[in-house]
Amino acid sequence: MRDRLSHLLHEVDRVPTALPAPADVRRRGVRLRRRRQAAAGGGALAVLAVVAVGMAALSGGQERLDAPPAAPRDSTPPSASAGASPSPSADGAAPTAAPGGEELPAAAVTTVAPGSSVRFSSPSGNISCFLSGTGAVCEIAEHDYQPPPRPADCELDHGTMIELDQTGPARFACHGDTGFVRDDPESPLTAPGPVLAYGEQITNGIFTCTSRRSGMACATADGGHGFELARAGFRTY
Amino acid sequence: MSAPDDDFDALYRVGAPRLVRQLLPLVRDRQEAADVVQEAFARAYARWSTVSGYDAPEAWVRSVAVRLAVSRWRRHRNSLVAWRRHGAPDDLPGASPDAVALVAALRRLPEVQRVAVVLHHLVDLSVEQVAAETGVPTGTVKTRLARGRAALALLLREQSPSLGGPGA
Repeated sequence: MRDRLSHLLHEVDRVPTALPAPADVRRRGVRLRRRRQAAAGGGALAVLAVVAVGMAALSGGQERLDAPPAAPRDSTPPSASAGASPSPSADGAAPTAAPGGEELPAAAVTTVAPGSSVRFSSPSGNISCFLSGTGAVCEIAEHDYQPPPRPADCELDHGTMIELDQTGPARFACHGDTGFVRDDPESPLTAPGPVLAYGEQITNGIFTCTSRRSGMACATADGGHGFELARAGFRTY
Repeated sequence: MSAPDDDFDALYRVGAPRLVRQLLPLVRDRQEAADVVQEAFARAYARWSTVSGYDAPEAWVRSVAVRLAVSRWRRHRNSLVAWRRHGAPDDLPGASPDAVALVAALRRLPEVQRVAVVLHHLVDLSVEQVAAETGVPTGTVKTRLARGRAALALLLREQSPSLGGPGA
C-alpha cells in the first residue's frame, strides 16, 4: 500500500505549489522569536505582580508545586500584564476564565462523553491539555523546573509535555512545537482551549484531570498512575 | 546571509514542497498545506539555534506541521461537512484521477485513522514513532492503521474501481 500511495502522491508533486521565499519565512520566524522573548519577559513581570494572589493560595495548606499563576503570557503586552492580572474575589475564589478562553461548564466535575475528547487550559493559560478516552496529555509553556534529560532517541522537544495512558506511569513526551500551548497569539493556527477553573475536574473514562492553583494534575481512576505539572515543578508516577 | 540562514534556506527549499505534498490529506487544499508548512518553518527559524542542532531538523518541522494541520482540520470540521456535501474542490490540477481520488478518500477517513495512515504510509514514520507523535499506545496505532486501510479500500472502490483492489 505504501508504494502505491507514494506513487500516487508523487503525481501531486507535478502540481506547482506556491510557497513564499525562504527570506519571507525567516522574517516571520524573527517576528515569532521576538514575540516569544517579549512574552517571556512579560510573564516574569506578571509573576511578580500576582505574588499577593499566590500567597493566599499557598496559605491554604495545599502542597506547593507551582509559583503563583501568571497572567497568560500571550494575552497582553508586558506593560499591561500587571493591570490585567486576575484578582481574587472577596472570598478568595480563583478567577474562572482567562482572556480569550471559553469557560467550561461551572460544574465541579465535567464528564466527557464516551468516544469524545476535549482540550482545555489552566486559568493562567500556562498549561494546555488534551484529554481523550485513551489518555491525557498536558503541555506547559513556561516553566522554571529543570527538565529530565532528553532521551538519546529524541530529536524533538522534550521536558514540557507529559503524557499519561493506560500502559503505565506518566512520562515526558518527545514532541515538536505543537501550537498546543498559546505561544503565538497572532497565529491563526492556534486557539486556546476552554478554561478548567481552579478546583474543577474533568473526567474521560478512567482519566481525570484536576485544575489546582498548584498546577494541573491528571491521574487514572485507581490513582496508580498520573502526573502533576506546574511552572515550578512536576511529578510523574 | 549567514551560514545558519543558508542551512535553513536549503532545508526549506528541499523540505517544504515535500511536506506540502505529505500534508495534503490532512488539510483542505494545497494552499492550506502551504500555509501550515510555512508556519512550521517559521517556528523552526524562531528557534533555529536549537533546531539546527538536531540530527534531523526536518523531522522537527514535520512534527510541528502535522500538529498544526490536525489543529486546522478540527477547527474547520464543520465547514468540511459542507465541503464534502458538495464534493472535493479540484485543487490538484495535473494530477491523475487516481491521485485525486486517493487524496479525497484520505480526507474522508476519521481523523485519528487519517493521521495514522498519513504518518505511517506517507511520512514513513514507524508505528512506534506514530504512537509517540499522537500520544497513544502502539496497539492503538496498529488498530487505527488497520481500520484506516480497510476504510480507504472501500472509499477508493466507491470513487475509482481501479484503485479499490487488494493492493490499495
